[in-house]
Parts: sequence; structure tokens; C-alpha cells
Amino acid sequence: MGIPTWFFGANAGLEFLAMIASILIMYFAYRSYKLSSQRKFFYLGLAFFFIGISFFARTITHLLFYIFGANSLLTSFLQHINYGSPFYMLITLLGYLIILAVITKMFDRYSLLMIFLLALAGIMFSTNPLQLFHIFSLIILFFILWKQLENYFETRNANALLVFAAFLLMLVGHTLFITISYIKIEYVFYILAHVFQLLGYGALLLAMLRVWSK
Amino acid sequence: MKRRRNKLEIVFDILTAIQAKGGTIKPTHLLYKSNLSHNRMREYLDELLEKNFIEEIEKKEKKKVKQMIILKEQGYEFLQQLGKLKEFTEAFGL
Repeated sequence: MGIPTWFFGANAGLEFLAMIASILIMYFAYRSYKLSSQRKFFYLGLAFFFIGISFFARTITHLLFYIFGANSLLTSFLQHINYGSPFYMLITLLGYLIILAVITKMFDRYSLLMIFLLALAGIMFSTNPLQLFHIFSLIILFFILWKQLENYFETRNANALLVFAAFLLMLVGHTLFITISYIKIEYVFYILAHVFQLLGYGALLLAMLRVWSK
Repeated sequence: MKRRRNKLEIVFDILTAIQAKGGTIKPTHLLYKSNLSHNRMREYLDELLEKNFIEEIEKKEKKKVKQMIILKEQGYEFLQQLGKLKEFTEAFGL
């Protein structure tokens, strides 16, 4: 894939910002859990903890790749947790799946485990696991988005609209990552995908800050 | 049909009702505003008293002694936190 060299390092920066946003959302969810003792907040925090870890893995690998180059021992070791590695894909999917479970109140452990195992099997045995990961993410985010749209129409609340917009941006990000394989100007889509992802987490963080910083 | 309120929502409604009356309310008014049975409201009030969120006082008015419920500083703070929690819940539709 022809990613422009100037974007190496910049991608780590964008991923770092998304990681910070995920960690802050996790903190707000945990604060809600401490206040209410309701487990749904704990699980929401856990979901963003997983997403935060996945962004941490991406940030650190891309940063070290930028500093030491692709051939260093450290970078080759970090490829096991980088974007595209099974670790990265599964931990991100786990985060999305928990968000879906919390907002749809789908607490049937067997169904959740089954969905996760199907994703695991797909990713482990696919010839193009990364593409499959983005497709799985797209499907999960589609259902999250659907629920968020319903929620917005129910509440007509600006923060609910922001949360909806956030998941929409994340969905667009994954769509752009999928289209990379089918177009010639893939580097533009790769950069845009990163930007949309960051905007998504930024919108989510903005919604949280609007709630908690009053 | 409206869904049943959970415990936190009931506490939020009780504290909001007191706040809406300027921080002091008569128990009968609170009973009406919080939409609870007498016994259930008593249980909630006891818990709020224990947590130091409210205070029960006796006020003399025209030779009559009236019971009043006062929202305390901790109660105001907790109400503010609950308001944020409510907004958080609404934002995600949890």
C-alpha cells in the first residue's frame, strides 16, 4: 500500500489522540459506575478500555516504526500487536461488541460469546483477516448506530446526536479502510480513514465533556 | 405504559422536587411530587437522611408545628452528579 512517508508519525499522533479520547470516555463511564453502582457503566468503561489498548498498540508500534524503521527487532516484535494483528483486531472487536451489548441491553452471554467466536474464527482462518475485521466492525457499528439513531429520536438531545455522529464517523472510517483494497488512490483513503476515526472519538469525547464539565 | 423508575431515578426525582421548592418542602408535597407510597417514601427518606443529603426539621408556623424536609449541601452536590449521570445515560441511550 502506497502510504505517503510524511504520514508515518502523523498516524501515530492521530492514534494517540484517539487513545486519549477512549481513556477519558472510560474514565467518565467508570465515574458513572462509582456513582450509581450500575454494571452497564462498568461494561461501557471496559469496552473503551479495550479500544484504548488497541489504539495504544497502534500508537506505540507506528511511533517506533517511525523512529527505528521497519527492520528493527523491537518493531518486528511489535507487529504482533500492531494494526492488522489478530491481537489488535480481536481487542477492538471485543470493545465494539461490549458497546453493542450495553446499549442494546443484550446480556445473553452465550450469544455474545458465539458472535465473538465467529469473529475469532473468521479472522484466524481468513485469507484477508484485516478486510474481514473491518467488515465485522462495520456490521457491529451499524447496529450501534441504529440504536443511537432511535435514541436520538426518543430524546432529541444534543449529546445523543453527538454520540450518533461519533459512531457514524467511526463507521465511515471503517468503510474507508475497506475501500482501500479496491481503489488506486488508497493513500488518500487511508489518511481519511484515520481522520474520520479520530473525529469519531473526538465527537464522543466532546459529548462526554459537555455532560461532565458543567 | 411508562416503565418503572429505578432507585437512582427515584432519588433524583425526590431531590429535584425538594430543590424545585427552594430547598425546603413539606413531606405531603414531597409525597405527591415523588409519586410514591408513604412507606416507600419513608424508606427513601431514611436512606437520604443517613447519607446526610437531607435534614428533617420542625418549623413553627401560627402556633402549629410543621415537619419540613431540607436539602443539604451534600444533597445538592449529589443531585448535580445525578443530573450528569442522567445526561450521560440519555446520551448513550443506556
